[in-house]
Amino acid sequence: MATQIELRDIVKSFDNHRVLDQINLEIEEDEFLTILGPSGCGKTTILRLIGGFESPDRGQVIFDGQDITGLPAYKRPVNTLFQKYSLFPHLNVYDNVAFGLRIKKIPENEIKPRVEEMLRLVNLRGFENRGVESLSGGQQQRIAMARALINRPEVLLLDEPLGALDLKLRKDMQSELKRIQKELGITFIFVTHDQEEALTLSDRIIVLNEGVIQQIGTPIDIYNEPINSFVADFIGESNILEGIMHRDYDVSFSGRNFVCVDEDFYPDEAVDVVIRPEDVEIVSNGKAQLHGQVVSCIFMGVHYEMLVSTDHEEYLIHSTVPREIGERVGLFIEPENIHIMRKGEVEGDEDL
Amino acid sequence: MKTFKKVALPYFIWAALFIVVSLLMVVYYGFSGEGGLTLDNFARFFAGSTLKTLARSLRIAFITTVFCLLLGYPLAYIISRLMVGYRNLAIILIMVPMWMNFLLRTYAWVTILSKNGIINVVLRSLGFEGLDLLYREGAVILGMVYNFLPFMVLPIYTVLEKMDQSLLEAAADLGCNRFKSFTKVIFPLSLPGVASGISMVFIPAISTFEITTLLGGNKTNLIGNVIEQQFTITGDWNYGSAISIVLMVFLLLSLFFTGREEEATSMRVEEVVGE
Amino acid sequence: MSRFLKRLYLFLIYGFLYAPILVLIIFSFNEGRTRGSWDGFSLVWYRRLVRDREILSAVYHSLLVASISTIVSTIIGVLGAIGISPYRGKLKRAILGMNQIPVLNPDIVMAVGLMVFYRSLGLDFGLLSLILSHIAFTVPYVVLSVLPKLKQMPSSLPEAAMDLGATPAQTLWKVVIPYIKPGIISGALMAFTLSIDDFVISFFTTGSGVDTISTLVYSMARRGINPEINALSAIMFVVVLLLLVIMNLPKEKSAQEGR
Repeated sequence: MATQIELRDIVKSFDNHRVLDQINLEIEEDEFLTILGPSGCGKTTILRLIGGFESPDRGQVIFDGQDITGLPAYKRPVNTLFQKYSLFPHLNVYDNVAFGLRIKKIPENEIKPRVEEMLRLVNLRGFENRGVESLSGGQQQRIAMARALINRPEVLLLDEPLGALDLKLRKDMQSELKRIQKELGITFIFVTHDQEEALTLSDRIIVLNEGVIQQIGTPIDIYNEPINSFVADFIGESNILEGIMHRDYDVSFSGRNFVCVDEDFYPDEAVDVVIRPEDVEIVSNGKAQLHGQVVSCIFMGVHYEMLVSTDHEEYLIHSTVPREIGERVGLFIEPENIHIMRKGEVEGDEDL
Repeated sequence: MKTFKKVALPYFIWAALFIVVSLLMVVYYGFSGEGGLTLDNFARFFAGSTLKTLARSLRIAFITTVFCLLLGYPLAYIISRLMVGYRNLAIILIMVPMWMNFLLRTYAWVTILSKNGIINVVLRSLGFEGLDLLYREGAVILGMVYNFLPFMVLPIYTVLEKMDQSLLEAAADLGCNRFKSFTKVIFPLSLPGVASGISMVFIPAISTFEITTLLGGNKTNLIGNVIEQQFTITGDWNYGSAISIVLMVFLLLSLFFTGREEEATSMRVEEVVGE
Repeated sequence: MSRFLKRLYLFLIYGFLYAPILVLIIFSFNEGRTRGSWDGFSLVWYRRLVRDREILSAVYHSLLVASISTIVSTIIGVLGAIGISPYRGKLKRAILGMNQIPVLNPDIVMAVGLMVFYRSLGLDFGLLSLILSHIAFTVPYVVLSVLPKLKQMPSSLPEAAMDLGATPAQTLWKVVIPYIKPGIISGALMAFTLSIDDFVISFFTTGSGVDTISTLVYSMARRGINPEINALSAIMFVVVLLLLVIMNLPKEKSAQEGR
């Protein structure tokens, strides 16, 4: 796959507050890329830089090898799906969808079939003459998508487009988004703070925090091999523990030594140890590495969420078998489920 | 929207010339005389009879404001408790006269109050003696109350009408009787409306000269008349400007006492548009 | 307060507000010239009114000045509001503060300011100075009635338009202006009302021979009463009522349809 959009050394500040700090990013053609991070991390700003609504203080935006940093939004071959739909309230559904083509002065007889095609794509045929304010949130978002896609953009930017929808609708829209992206075969750059959404939809995920890219990778990579404690904590729940890496494959935390699969650390380096709640097994005393007492046990639908307090910390555990509160249990962690992370490492650091 | 900042250019040029420059020229004239910059105009103001005129203007503006408040608050309150249909009608009826030229309406009072006017004709036909109503301070105050009453009613009404009914229910729930829920809940919450009403009556009342001329004859002279005379008859612009500056100081003071200016304006806007 | 007292109070206040207007209208049909006594029904003042060049030219000037100043101040004010709304913080407060001056300042102070300003420019007092002044004092009201609408508009709306390929000018014309239309209409209406009702500013900034209704009534009232003015008032009142009815009817209808 070819690189379509490239951000080079982007720096952006608002009111002396640095929102993006040295962002370097390559986006490939036709991929579904998600920028994931907590609110205020700068993810929307990246999108707005690509869309042409902001210009960077430093750095360049490259599109198909050409520098488009100074190009205004209306000249860029990308379209945006905004968080709050932002349909034009004074136009009906048809006129909203036709807006971009009319701006381009395309003859009406050409516009009509294309509007119909778009409404079919988003499953809203027959809504042409409806006022946009009479539509539900989900319908409005589909119309907004039809309006953005009718211009046949090479890239669609999606700024938390599902944020305002309720859970059920959101799930439906997620699969819809994926279907449309496959059907059209164009690049989607999707911004969200919802890690589950990111894991479900994306080909690749960029985890962003405080204007710095933490990690880039496939959903599986990011979930299984978080680069630092921030990513680990943000992508799913996890136990993050202070540990010391004594030598290769030997780490100590929670008051004892464990065998792990990581290597290449300084001797006795202080590290973060990440263990997913579903990777902590509750076992009979013989096999146990740690012992603790069940503090709470809540049924979560598919699994039980338990807190087990050991001598040193509390472990969050997901298990399908419930335990009594107050019960003493043994805990066991497989070596490959112990993830060791250098403190404060972010994407690109290993190249240095 | 940043893209559109430049479209305000005509506005900025316009405002700079017609608002800022023209105001600065008044200030310049107020502080200058034949021999350049001077405070003479103000010295003359504070030494002469104009000070008395100012005092009278303040007194009359104050009385007008009090009357408007006493008449206007109950009116606004009653209207705000009407059913919606009647309520809108009642408010439109308050605004309709404002749409007519106010000088015409003020002038109508001459017809009512004058020596051979309606009131006196009626009185005489009933065997009473005619009264000398026109060209007195009372007539001026009447004219001002008549003209400015809507300025008091509308902002108060706007606040009362927007007031959350559940607040009253909560007050009643907590044991307030109707009188108490008025003094403890409704009235305190309506104070912003009262404040902007007061400033919107007081400011025009203190500076008017046309109502004084029409209804007060030449007997009641107010500060507005003095300014007018400086510019149209005497031609002493420096002195007239100095008095204007003093008047602006009162404007600032009244804004200071009645609260934030933004509120006052938004009220005034609402009232003129009638939204 | 009992229901009866409330009704009585409303009745008295509305009586107070409408009595003078009623008196004007009634006496416009009076045959005689005196104010107090009724000499019989007649349309003589209406007949004289339509032949009175002085009054007709004042009406013409009032309408002309109000129309031109409304159009110009609406354009300047709407563009001004659009340009101001992206400002934030202190700068915005300063701009709005400047905008408030004509709204809050006593009319007479603004009027003498404009008078002094025109004189220093060497501008002749007449129709032009009158129109300029009316634009000057109505622009801030247009700005104030449009700004809230702009504040309501999500910033993503114009962005969406530009995203779809609209140039800034197209965005303004096809998206922003339609969105803030209600604010523009009420601003224009307010400008017109203020202009046609204005006396003080006109009084100081017009020249000899150019009278508006207000300045004419003022000078006539000082000279003595002319019942033609009554006739004029009656006609204006009817026009205002008609306009109100016309403006309110379709509004309610469309509001109902919208729901």
